[in-house]
Amino acid sequence: METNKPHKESFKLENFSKKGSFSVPDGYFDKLPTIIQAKAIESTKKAFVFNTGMALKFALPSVVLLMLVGYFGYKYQNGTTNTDANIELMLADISTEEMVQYLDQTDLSSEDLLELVSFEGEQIDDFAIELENISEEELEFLIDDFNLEGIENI
Amino acid sequence: MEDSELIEKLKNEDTRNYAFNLLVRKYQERIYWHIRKMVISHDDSDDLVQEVFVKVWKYLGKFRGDSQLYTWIYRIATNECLSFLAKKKKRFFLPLVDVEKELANHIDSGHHYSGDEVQIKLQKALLKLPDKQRLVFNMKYFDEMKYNQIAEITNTSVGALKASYHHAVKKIEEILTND
Repeated sequence: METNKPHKESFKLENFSKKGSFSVPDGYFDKLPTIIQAKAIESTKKAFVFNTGMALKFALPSVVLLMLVGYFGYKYQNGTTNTDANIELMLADISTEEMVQYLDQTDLSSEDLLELVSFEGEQIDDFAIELENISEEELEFLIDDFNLEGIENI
Repeated sequence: MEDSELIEKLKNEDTRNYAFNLLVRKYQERIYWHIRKMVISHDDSDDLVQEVFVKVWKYLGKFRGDSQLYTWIYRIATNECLSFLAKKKKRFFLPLVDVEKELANHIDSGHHYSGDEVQIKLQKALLKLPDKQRLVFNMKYFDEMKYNQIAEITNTSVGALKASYHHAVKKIEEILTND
């Protein structure tokens, strides 16, 4: 019995041609080896730069750290670090006359001195008591000697 | 030049560049067409074939010679193709069918494509196969490689390859019949 269904052609793979249906630009395979060779050599250079760069990036901080540790370790071993105690001992050897002479000759301003010196609460109170005991004459002499310009900035 | 001689020259610092040039000239076309049948676009194939040979250059020192040089290069090319297609699917968050469409569009555009209508149909039918099955089909049908060669390249058993090829042929014939 015949049916009215349209006949479908059965495709068999062996009936297809195996010839390539893709193409490439003219002269593509003539130029390709040169392009590949250049890229390959470039990749070797990049790998070298990368390795040197990475080595510097990771090794340099370690070297610097080791040098610092070594330096401070050496200083600590030899006891030559400038601690506050050492400075105080050094200053104790200087006489009051020598200090006054130094301050007369130096260019240190009042602002510089105030920055260098820090007073504790009790020391400030002692200083205030001393100022209360100062005579009017002595005070006038001190004020004349002061340069008040720029005092608002202190 | 025989592969064994080529390998010797590649291992020698003085003849390395020259031997590499010979190697590229010897295998470039086979590798290019192997890639092209998988990724369809000429531009993508061009990028990939360059990548493959740069990798060959880089890893030549690791080539132990257990397999043939040609099998080793084919294997690198196959890996590159499969990774490229997998990345393509991931990158665009596209389902498989859309990547298939994108590849089919390359065929329709006629850009570096010279196949007749029947060839276009066959290529489009091939795109409906899973990537690995398509790869096996291409190597067996178009490149006429032996099963043991394909087995070495894909690291699969000959039995599994025969089954895969058989299924691929049936599917393609079915697609083309119903098209």
